[in-house]
Amino acid sequence: MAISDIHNILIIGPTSSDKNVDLSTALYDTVEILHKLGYKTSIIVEDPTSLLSSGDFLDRVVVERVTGDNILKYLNDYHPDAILPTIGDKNALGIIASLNGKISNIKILGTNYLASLATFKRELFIKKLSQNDLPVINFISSDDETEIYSFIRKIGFPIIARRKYSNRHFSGWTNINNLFELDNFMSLEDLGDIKIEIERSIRGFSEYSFTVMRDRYENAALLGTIEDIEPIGIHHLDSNLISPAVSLNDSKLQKLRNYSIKLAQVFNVVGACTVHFAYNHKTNECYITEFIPRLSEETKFLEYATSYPLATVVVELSLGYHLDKVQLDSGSNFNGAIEPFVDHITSRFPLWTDPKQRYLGPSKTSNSSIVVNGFSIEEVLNRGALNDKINDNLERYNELRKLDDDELFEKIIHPTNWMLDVLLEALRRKFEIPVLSEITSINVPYLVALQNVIDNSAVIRDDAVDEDNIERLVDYGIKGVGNSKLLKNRDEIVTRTVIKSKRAVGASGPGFMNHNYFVTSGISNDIDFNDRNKIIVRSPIITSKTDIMVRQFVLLQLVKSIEQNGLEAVVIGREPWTAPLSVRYKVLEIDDPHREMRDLKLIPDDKIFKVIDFSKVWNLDSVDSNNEDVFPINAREIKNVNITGDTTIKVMVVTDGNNYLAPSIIYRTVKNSQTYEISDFNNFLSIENKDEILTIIKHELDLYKEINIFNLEIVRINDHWVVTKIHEGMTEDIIRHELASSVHVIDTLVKLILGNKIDDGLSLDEIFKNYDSNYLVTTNDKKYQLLDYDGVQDVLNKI
Amino acid sequence: MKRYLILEDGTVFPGVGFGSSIITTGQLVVSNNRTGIEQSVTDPDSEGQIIAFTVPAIGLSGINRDFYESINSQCKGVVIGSSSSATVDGSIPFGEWITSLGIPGIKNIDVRALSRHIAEYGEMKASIMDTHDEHAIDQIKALVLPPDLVKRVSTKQSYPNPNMGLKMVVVDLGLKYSILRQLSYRDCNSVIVNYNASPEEIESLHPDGIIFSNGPGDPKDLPQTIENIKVLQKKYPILGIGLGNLLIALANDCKIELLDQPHHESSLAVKEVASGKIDFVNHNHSYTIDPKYISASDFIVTNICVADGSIEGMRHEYLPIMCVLFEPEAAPGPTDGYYVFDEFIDLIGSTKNQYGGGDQWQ
Repeated sequence: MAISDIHNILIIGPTSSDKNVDLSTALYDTVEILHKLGYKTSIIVEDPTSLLSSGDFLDRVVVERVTGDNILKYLNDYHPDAILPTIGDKNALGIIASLNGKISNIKILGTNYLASLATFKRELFIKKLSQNDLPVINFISSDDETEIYSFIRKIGFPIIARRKYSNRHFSGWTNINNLFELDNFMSLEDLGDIKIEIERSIRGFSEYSFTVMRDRYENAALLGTIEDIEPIGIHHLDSNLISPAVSLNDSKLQKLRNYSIKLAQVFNVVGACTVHFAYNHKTNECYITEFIPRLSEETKFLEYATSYPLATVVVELSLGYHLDKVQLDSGSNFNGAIEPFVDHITSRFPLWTDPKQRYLGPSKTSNSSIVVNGFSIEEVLNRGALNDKINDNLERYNELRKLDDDELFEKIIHPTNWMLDVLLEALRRKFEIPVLSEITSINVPYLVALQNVIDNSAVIRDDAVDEDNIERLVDYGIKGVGNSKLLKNRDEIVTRTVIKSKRAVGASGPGFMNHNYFVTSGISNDIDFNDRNKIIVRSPIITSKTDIMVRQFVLLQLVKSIEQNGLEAVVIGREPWTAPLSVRYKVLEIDDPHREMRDLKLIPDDKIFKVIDFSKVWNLDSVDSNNEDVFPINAREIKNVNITGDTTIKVMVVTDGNNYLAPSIIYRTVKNSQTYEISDFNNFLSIENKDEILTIIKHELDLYKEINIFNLEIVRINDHWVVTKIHEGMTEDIIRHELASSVHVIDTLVKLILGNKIDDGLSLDEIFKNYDSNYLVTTNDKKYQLLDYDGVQDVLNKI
Repeated sequence: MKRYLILEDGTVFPGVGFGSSIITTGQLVVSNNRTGIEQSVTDPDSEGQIIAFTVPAIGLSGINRDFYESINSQCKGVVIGSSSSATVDGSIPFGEWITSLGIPGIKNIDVRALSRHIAEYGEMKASIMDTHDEHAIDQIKALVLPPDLVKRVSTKQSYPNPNMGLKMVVVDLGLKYSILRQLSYRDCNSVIVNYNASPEEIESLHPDGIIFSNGPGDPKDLPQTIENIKVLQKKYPILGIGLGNLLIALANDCKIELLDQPHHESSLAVKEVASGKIDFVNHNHSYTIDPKYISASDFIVTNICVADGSIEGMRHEYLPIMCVLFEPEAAPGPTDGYYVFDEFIDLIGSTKNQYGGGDQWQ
């Protein structure tokens, strides 16, 4: 039963910061379900493109900086019944913590002041956990030497210590292993007004994170577990992650599960709560290191791993729905009371844009990641962290080979982002696994898995695959399609790839009406090749920070359009794509980091209708370029003339090879050092301008006689339009064109690919037709406004 | 060594043998337990079963003898996809452990395909063999699984699990040690008796309460135990767990039926009907109680499975009898169900207050 007095909800959206976790699909799911459930929803967001939609589901989109002041102003102006901060990353929790005492009669959904504050204030976090018998690292902050020594006698060594100065600055943490080192540390400076902060050291502990889902009625489920291959001390998101946490036995798993649920109860978190643990497998010591009462990188990763519709369930629980009675869309019930079981391993490997080595520590340095699935640790290592197509591992190997043993040892002691490659090299040189484990605190099974990868590679490299050792290869981690050239056509060996088919989410069966299919077998065993024609969409790496919105957006629109046109989309990429829930039923997702689906022809040619290639890295080779059924849609520059001007337009052109449509034009001009950009400028062009632009289009694109999409950048010089740049394919402007234009460019493109034609003899108005009544106006590339026709006219008059 | 998992319906899954090299045949059960391989393999419920584990990287977390649910392994074989050749705690690797138990195993099996096959066609007999041909399949079809599974696993002789608290008699139908662990946590002074211990023998122990434990096989194969329950339930507070629950249902004219999708999962949600509270508990049963017969009996349904709505717990309207089909002792799985033991002890307490002692029941 939902809370009855909530009707209007304000969502605190993400900021434009690069440090934000991309939660755009989660935001899309949230907004969509709120709309379907009949709530009036508003959002404050810095960049409206992060909505992945034109905002149809929203009653109000406020494009402003997401700050406490702006939120407060909105609350005072519009008086919503509730605020939803759990999808706005850490910034939103900070805002909630700052609003304490400033608002009344407005409910905070999901989290609350206390939980938000405790994620920032360590003393509060420790106090609350200690009060509730939850294991938290012993901590003291004191200027009393006696008290400090007494505390250390109680907790023992090793510890970490730092000074807190009166100006609130801190010294760095120092590792202290015995009384002698402590005496030295204490004697370095007089205490005076300095405080000493001391914690039990957990360096080298294993790190785990547990995510639980809790409703208002004290029902809670463990949604998933993640473990870091690297130990505590290296930032969680710079570590190689494995889900589920396979190194925990039942007793440890249940202990951490119970702690996680209790913590969510203690802070009254409703929805998702992720709890991080440090665990020492030798002593069975265990501490809670932090908790995250909102959607996060962890929840996003678990949604990849389990297909549980996390974002949708979170918002409904916060509105008072029971865990077992969630609605996926109007009328369809979903049993959220499940602890998803998976028969595969999902891993997230961090990526760095810069290929050079860098030391890893407690601060995050990676800027993207890749997610892969597999059936063994070795398989996911091969597909992800050790995949030369992604990480330049061969280059790393060549570099590391040049090091002598001492230099290599130094790399082992001081971990870098090449850690797994360094360990591979060490194992090749016969460094002993127990010694490596002791030094790196990486658990032995992962080092053994690396050794298996080496041994298997040697067999494959030496072309020694025969009946005798192929089973051993499979046994030591060659599973799935990974490395499958040697396994191809061997039906007796498990060569299934991990294919996501989420259409079964929430499905009922005669025997298990509420048991969601992915719980028992997670991912479809085979691609279900039915009689419907399929369009393959080759996707780029999705979680990469660059152009992430474009990638998410284009994929979403492609899948929607393919479905609407009666075909089935199969998205194949280097990593799986977790689509917004509304299209998950309609798409098959295959992660194929070695590009085996195509190279090994694992999908029969006669089952493929067309291929839309959106994979940025996989340039078309001769096989594809001769194939009429492959349509590349990646951006490719075909003209660049160095002419600049204060006023430009970007024209999106769709062509069937003969005729053109220009449904979306973005206008950009500079006036008094201010940059203005206006979408859907079609509706403000004179007939003369349209005629001139069409002439230019025809002239420039005359040579291109195939279905395609073009983006022309045209400068206004001396009262004439001059083309300066032309791109074919989807540039980053597509999202703005598409959001703004009611004539959906991507859908038009798909229709043309399916064989439709643009009518001959269209009038200028029909070619430039655009039905929109709202226009996106961007000032200085930072400030966004949604204006109506008159509002844009005012802006145009001003400039 | 190449070996084959052959199902009764003729389906063959090729794999690699490990553990014992003997040929084995049993009831194939697909287990979605996330953890607790030690518990599953040593659980007396698995007597006569070949267990197919669908969890990946099995054994990486290590093998711990403290988690055993009986002294010996009980199952007839194990089927896995992948296993880890090393453990996080330095304990014996999974493959070596299975070998040490003398159980035959088969690995590199497409457990996802196997799981789907069983979900579609139901549980069936299977064999782990070195060859696969028509003769082997005929052999499996012809084999009749023994009906005396409980007799095989139940204690032959009564033994105590001493403590200072309430006196419990635990009727061993295939008892898991974790039930005794839970009783010990609660200071219960228990005596474990054979599954066919007579009412007189049990009465002579002057129990405060009786527990009919979990166990393997078809409940209808235990007519004498059902008759014993009919006598004892009028005199003592009773807790039925798993098979114990099914026997109590049969003793009270309820009918039981096979589940369309058997429950073999260490964390599956059950809902308390009265409060709506959801708990995640270990399930390991293929039968349930036919709800049509509950309304005509003196029982009320207390718990249902959220996934399929099947009955997971019931309570007598006026006699102190409570039952659960799931495994409240966990092992493996979440510990949400421990409360069942507390409620039973409370039930005994309220009974004593009302009647002045269990042995003066009538």
